[in-house]
Amino acid sequence: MITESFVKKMEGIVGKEYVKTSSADMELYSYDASLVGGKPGLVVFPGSTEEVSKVMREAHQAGVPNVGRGFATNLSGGTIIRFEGMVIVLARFNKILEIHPESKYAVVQTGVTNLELQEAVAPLGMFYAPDPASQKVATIGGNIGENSGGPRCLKYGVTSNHILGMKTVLSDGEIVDIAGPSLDPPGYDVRGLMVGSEGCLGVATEITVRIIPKTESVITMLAIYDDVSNAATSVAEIMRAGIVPLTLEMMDNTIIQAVEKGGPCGYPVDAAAVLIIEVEGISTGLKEQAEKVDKICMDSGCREVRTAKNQEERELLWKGRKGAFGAICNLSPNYLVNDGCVLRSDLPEVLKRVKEVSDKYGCPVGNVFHAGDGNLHPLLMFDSRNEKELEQVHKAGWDIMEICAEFGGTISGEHGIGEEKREAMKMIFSGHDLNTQQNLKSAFDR
Amino acid sequence: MLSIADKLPDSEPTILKRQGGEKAQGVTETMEAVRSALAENKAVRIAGKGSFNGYGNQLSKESVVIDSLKMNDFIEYDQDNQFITVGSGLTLGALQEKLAQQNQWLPIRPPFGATDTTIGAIVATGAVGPERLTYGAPRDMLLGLQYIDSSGSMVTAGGRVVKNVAGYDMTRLLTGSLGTLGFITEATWRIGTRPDTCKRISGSGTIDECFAAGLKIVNSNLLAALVTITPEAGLATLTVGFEGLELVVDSQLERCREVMNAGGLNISEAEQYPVVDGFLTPAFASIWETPFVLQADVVIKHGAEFVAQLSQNSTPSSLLLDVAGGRVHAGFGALTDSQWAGIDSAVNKFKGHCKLLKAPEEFAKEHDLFGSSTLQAAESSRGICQRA
Repeated sequence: MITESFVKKMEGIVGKEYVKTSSADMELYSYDASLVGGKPGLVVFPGSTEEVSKVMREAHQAGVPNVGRGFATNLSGGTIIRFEGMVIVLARFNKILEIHPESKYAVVQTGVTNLELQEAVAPLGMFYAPDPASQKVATIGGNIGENSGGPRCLKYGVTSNHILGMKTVLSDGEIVDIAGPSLDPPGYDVRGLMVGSEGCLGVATEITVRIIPKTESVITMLAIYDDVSNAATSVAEIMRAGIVPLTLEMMDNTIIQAVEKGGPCGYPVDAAAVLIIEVEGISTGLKEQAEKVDKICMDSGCREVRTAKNQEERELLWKGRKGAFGAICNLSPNYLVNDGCVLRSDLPEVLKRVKEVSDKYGCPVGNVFHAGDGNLHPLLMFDSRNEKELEQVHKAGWDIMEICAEFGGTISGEHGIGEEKREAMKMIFSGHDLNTQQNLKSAFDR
Repeated sequence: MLSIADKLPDSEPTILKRQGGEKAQGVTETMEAVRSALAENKAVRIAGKGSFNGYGNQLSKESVVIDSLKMNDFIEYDQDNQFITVGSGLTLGALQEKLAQQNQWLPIRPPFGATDTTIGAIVATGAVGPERLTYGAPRDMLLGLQYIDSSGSMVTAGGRVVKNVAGYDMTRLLTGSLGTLGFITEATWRIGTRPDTCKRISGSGTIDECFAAGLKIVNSNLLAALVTITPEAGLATLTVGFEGLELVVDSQLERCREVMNAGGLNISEAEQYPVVDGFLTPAFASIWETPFVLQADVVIKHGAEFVAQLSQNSTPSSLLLDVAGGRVHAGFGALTDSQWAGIDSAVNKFKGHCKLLKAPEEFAKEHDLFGSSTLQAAESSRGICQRA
């Protein structure tokens, strides 16, 4: 329960200007990028780890539920607080603290965006591998909360593979340094556990990330298909051939239309689907690898493979892919995105089933996704002003999760469970599995 | 969120059907053995092939040994989707043999125990060699786990797809937990295509020369699979391995040779090495022969400084530095209290930590083998274990 005296305590800790209680402010912090709505009673903006610690200690003592939040690009309602709790906004944690190219790590505050980190290390010839499409605004803290992916994760692995350590505040305000710049510290892999825990186990304030030297060359290809199934087959065949591309992304005709409406990015609007395929490495042998990919695509029914001739063409292709979610506004006022993950070989069948769901509920669907990982992103379009459509789209989303579970996959590959998919956890875990996870959380909630 | 008071019934998942679990070979007997030990208030010591016997601190209560060796079946192998689920008692050697038939492999070369190590032991210890530079560590390749918890019940973590953020990442928590959180019964791994060729090139010089050249290679855009230094008789040898397509490997060897040349090293001819075993087996075997085996991790750029301090402090009889990981494995004929304290102090100085993978029983009884240098993370970790 948020009382007046609790608000005063918060003002005493972070300063009056960094505490918000007005109904307009509560409205602003009641949603993220998902369809889930919340109802905060208080929003605070701490400026240091010590302030976060004091805020959380007071909340713990007063029994005020709380959630950490960056720039709220969360797609599963993971930064939403439903019952008059407190939102702890970490936007002031926006500094890059250390960069050590020789030892391949950097230390950043949790509110630094993924792109800011990329831009800081790029002049040193380095990069940070995870690259979610929302990287312009998604924070590193949010990335670790969700164990974010991105196109490059096909080759380099998800966020968890690139986090070395973190300074975290536990629910009772205790500050702990979890791991650090050297490998595998003694004790349990608490760092691995915290990544992807959606902020349920603590609030990270400083994060040590692994950075990697840039590769020498990259070749970007656009494979164009008249049939979505053929594109899905190419994906499976490329991986089966032992090639691990840097990226292997698929967009169907609906998405191509949406993107091209917003400004030309070089996608053929008559194609049923395209694959954006990149191979990277040292210059020697790279052309041969690209030729092998080209042949596999053509052998599996591709109409044409185009290669980006220069950096400008490459950037344009990526601009379209990374802006695909936003481009849906050219077709529909709202969308719901699912992110179930299935085996690559099941993609043709699963995509057919997704289309059937879309038809059943009358929600048009566009697919733009990390095909190499089997990580679907069906964008189900609707108008939230129409209650019937809202109801139908939720049913469609549920059915798609069921399909992913039925095919032996998972209900979320990278967007998280949040408020949105909590009930669906029973599709893939037993009661005892879920109790075990709850017990684990209790170990952190002291 | 669910509350403890609202515990769910021990139901099956409503939709997802898994292979393995309690139905897999040997699992029911293992569960019964674990339950029986719990009923008698005995600790369970999990054993595989014995590669890591003695690893970890001494147990403080009466224990019973339960081995995993009956759980040695191949539960699901999907070569097209590149994953495999196996029982925890299967050896890495048997797994690699099966995968080799399809030109695939699990890219882990555990330093000690090699192919005789069981899959359960690899997960429980997080064992990995310097090839993690290019392939990652076991926790990065592990897609899912099944394990028997302290109530004697089966728990599932993760799954079989390559991206999965549903639930807490128990697979990473269990990896390297030395069996203290559960008895692993099966593991699902992401596997890869075997490299066409593996070749290494070596250069000798002073340790500083080797380290400078090694660091240059690690931080270049060459794609080395592993970069190691072995000091011997006042000199050192830098060895760099490349794995992949022959054309690409050969080109990189040439460029690596140029870096070594510029660094003043005496370079030997490049040699091919086997995919599964790599080339470090003799070096690790010589370390493992000693009574004390140290694993220390420091920040990458301090690797050579740490080795210098280690050599002054305690004279290891054999040593291997993984340049890219900042990891040192060293063997000692003897280790005094002050030398052990000195190692602790040195790793702290270089933002690292250390542990003894092997020590005589008398030493283990009186010392924490995970070192006094354990960071706050280890303390937190202990706290979590006590509460969990």
